[in-house]
Amino acid sequence: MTLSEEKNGKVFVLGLSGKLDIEGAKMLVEKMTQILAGGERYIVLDFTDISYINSAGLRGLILVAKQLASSGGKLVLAAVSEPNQNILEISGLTSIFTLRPTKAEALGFFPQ
Amino acid sequence: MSEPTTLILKNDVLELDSVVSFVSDVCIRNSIPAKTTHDLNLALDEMITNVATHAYPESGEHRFTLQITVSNGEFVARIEDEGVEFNPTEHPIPDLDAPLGERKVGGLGIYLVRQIMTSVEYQRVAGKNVVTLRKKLT
Repeated sequence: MTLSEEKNGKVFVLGLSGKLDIEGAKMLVEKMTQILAGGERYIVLDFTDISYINSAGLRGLILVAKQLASSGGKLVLAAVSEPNQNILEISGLTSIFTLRPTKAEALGFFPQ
Repeated sequence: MSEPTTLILKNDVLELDSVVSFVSDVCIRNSIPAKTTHDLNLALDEMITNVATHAYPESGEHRFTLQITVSNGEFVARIEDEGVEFNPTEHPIPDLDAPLGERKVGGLGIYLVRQIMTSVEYQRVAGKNVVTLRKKLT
């Protein structure tokens, strides 16, 4: 997995590309720890280029959600593909995460 | 209908790439739709990762097999390993309704397999774990 980042107003957008598997989850959790330590609180994870998520990836996402909740932040997942969204639903995670179909709609979730 | 095809694997998670190629090839040859192929790859990733990381706590290289058959509108994967006894059908179901603060971070892999597949069967035969995963294709 590779990461890209951009700032859009108050919102930090972390773009993920490739597979969110055990290696990807490790990268994601490490990066989020840095981002939160830097004071960011509004986060969009852009899944446009994520082809695949497995249980190790889900574990990483739950860890990130817990990190954000304990630091008073908010997280939105953008553009999760249909097969991957189905995996989130099966795992009972669509009630924990806020999902938006596009990055623009995810950005719109946050106050300007 | 296809003849069974077998992949011999080592207890190394780097083998997952060959599992994905193998499963995807079988799916293409049998005209299995992309979404089903995605789910089958996920289920087999979870099962093979589990064997590769937990079945052989002692060091050293071990081999196990993945056999796939597609026939009568059914995808059947049979995984045989000689590792520690593990019955996935008795694996506890995670609490999916727990609020975030109480939600466990792990334990979803085997649960996903059982949700994706039509059935999961387990036998312990002559010191082997034999897991049969079935998915109806129609």
